[in-house]
Amino acid sequence: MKSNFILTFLVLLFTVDSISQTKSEVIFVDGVCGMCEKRIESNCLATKGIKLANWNKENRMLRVIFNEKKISLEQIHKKIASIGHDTKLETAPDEAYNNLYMCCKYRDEEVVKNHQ
Amino acid sequence: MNNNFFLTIIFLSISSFLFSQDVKGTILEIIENKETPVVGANIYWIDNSGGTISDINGKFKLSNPDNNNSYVISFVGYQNDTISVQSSDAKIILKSDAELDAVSIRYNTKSSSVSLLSSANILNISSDELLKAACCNLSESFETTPSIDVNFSDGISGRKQINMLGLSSPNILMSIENIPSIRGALQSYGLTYIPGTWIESLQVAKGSGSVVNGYESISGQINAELRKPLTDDKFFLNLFANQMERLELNTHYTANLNQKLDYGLYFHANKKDTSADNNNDGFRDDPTGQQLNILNRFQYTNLEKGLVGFFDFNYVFDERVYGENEYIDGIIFPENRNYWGGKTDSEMVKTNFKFGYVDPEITYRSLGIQFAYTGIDMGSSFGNSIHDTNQSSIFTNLVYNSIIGNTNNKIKTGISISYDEYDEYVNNLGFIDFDISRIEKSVGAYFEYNYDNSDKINLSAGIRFDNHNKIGNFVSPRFHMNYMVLPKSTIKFSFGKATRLANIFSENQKLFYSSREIIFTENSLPSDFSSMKADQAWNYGVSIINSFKLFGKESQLILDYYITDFENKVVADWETPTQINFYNLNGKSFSNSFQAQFSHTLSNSIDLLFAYKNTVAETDYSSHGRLKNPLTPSDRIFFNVAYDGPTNDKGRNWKYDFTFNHVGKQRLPSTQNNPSEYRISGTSERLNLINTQITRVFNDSFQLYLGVENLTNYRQKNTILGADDPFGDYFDATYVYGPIFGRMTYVGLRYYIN
Repeated sequence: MKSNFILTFLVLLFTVDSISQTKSEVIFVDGVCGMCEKRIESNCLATKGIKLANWNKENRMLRVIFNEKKISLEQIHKKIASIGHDTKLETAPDEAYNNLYMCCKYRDEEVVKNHQ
Repeated sequence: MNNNFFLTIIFLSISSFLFSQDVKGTILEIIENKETPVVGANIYWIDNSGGTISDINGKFKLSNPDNNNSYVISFVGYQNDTISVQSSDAKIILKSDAELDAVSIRYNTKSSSVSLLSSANILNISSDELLKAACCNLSESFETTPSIDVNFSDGISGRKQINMLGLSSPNILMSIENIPSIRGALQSYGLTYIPGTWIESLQVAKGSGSVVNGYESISGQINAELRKPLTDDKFFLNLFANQMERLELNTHYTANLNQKLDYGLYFHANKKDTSADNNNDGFRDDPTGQQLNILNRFQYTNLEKGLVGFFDFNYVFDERVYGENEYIDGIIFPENRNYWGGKTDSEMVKTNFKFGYVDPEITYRSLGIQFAYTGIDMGSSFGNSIHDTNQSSIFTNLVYNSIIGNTNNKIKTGISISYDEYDEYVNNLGFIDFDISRIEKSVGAYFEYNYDNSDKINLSAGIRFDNHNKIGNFVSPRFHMNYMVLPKSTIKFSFGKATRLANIFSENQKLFYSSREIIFTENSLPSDFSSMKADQAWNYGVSIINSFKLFGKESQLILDYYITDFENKVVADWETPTQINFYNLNGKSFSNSFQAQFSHTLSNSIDLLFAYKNTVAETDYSSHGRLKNPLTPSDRIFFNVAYDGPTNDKGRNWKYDFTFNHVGKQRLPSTQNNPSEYRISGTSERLNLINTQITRVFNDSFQLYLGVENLTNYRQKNTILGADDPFGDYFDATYVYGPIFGRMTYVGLRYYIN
């Protein structure tokens, strides 16, 4: 009786979670500091459809898990570029890049050097 | 299926209640042709999915949930080095950058710390902290932790008891790797069955804990993480001896059986053949006896499939003989009966099985199962009294982790089942028998939601529903919140409700070290404890943590205030000298505890910790009205200095630790109705106690330590009332508030092979 209950419970949990179309990708996102990390991650998480976002400033790779039905990978690239960060596919528009704090200006070699 | 960081995070978060697993190594540099550990080097996976920093010994551990095969080491002044995962324990010697000279950076990491980020108020105590004192077993592991008070439970058994927020250990949920463990019959001796060297770290959570760990934590939770075969040293040996001829041996051995399986053998033995009577009361100051304790651990790690597991098998044999100096255990000659004495014989068999699965693609999703069986057979005699307990317990917990929407919103949900069968027999002073056999079982389901906006707020709200065959249905809500006011200032709130069925004789086993008559006020001869209501209490807490620089050095100020308010409680009433009365609480019982703690890093090698604690704990007693809880210090002042000296090029250094404790007045149960020679003062003296230890580290593998407990040689007078007539009505060894033995010196060695 109890084991049946557990089994039902388990199956239920996994099905509820598996119905959605989740996809996991790793993409290159340029940036330089902890503030960049916070900006990239919190903007991603605030975007509908993105479930997990984790950016590593050492190798500048963003791991993202998202629901394909709600957002495409291209849209994610666009979203990140729109907040001022270049990705492999999209270059951030100048006005977005210029809005970044001084310490986040990853295109400036001087800034990058200071962070090393 | 490539690398990801979140798997690591989720693994770490489950590891708090299930497991943890890593790749480890040591980073060295060559200084004057000697290998010297590199502190603070960055180690991260080549795909950047996670990283760590090497510790003071150059050691690091890196979780590898993704089965990565290469990682990068970087350190100022050295070339980055890429290492492939071949052995689980690598030795890496950094190569110098062309022109740069090595710049050594030294971080001073604290051996105990409170997180600024987590929602609950959890103090993490690392194994380094445990090395600061003798710490032979779990009950002695808190000497350098002001949040927890340690004192003797009585004047005869030598057992120590711990208190948190002014409440004794049965009110604390004590778990081992998040399986509730020190409960039932183990409330008496259980803490001494966990050798100090087995402990990897301790988590002390004040206030109501997480719903995941059960409904029992009234004043808090203490969790002990044991050493894991995958990350532990290959071999470890510890020998210990003290002035009273207590000898201890601890040895660990670990082996890598294959790619996925690691094995660890943990062995502990202690022995004490003689016992002095330094206070000349005719009784041994400390029992004689021995313990044999063996733990086998198998750790399974399959990272491709995201599976990890543990299988543990633990066997304990323990015997203690106590009483008058002339008493000899096992002798049935009539003369031996003239002496008060007794013996506790215990055997315990414990198996744990734990298994965890993390979805390799969707890394925020994981599932864990815990299963534990414990069998205990404990038989004790005390003068003319007897207490025998047989207990079989099964515990199962299933927990599922996922998210709602995105990773700012995490959930944990699951069910747990517990089954305890007790066969308990008590004979009180050779007159009254209590035959108490009972089965306690419960099934519960829980759900916990955690919101973390990765900025200012981190909160978790949990609820659990349980059905218990003795208590019925009940709900345990728990709430914790962390609000970061400023980047280094945080305020934490918590409230929660806990329920617990008291295990009356085991929790109050000290009553047998007296001639007190056991009286159940509401039911004179219970065949089970069904007339006693379950203990139920609300706990509310607030804590402010402020980190700042003082004179340019890291400092932290923690202020907290906790209220525990009982709705029901089994009152153990010691107020009538020749009796112990048990009855349900009628009125109020509460404990309000304030603590202020200030820590300051004086230099790279010296840390200071000051703490002040004030407790107001009172209970309504049926015949005596509202009184302060007995043997609960009203205030305590704590001061600790830890020195960890510089390591020279041979790897040698000195460590020194000094702890001062001022324990305030404690109310003692009244002895006014006794004949005048058996009366003592109604309040205890204020105590000043000093413990100190010095450690010489000779190299990576060898250390010697020498310590003194109770340096000022303070000794409580009259620990045993009526010691001259132990079979008389007024014999009582329960009025113990201070050290029984005077100054106590100990020595020990530790030997490691990596």
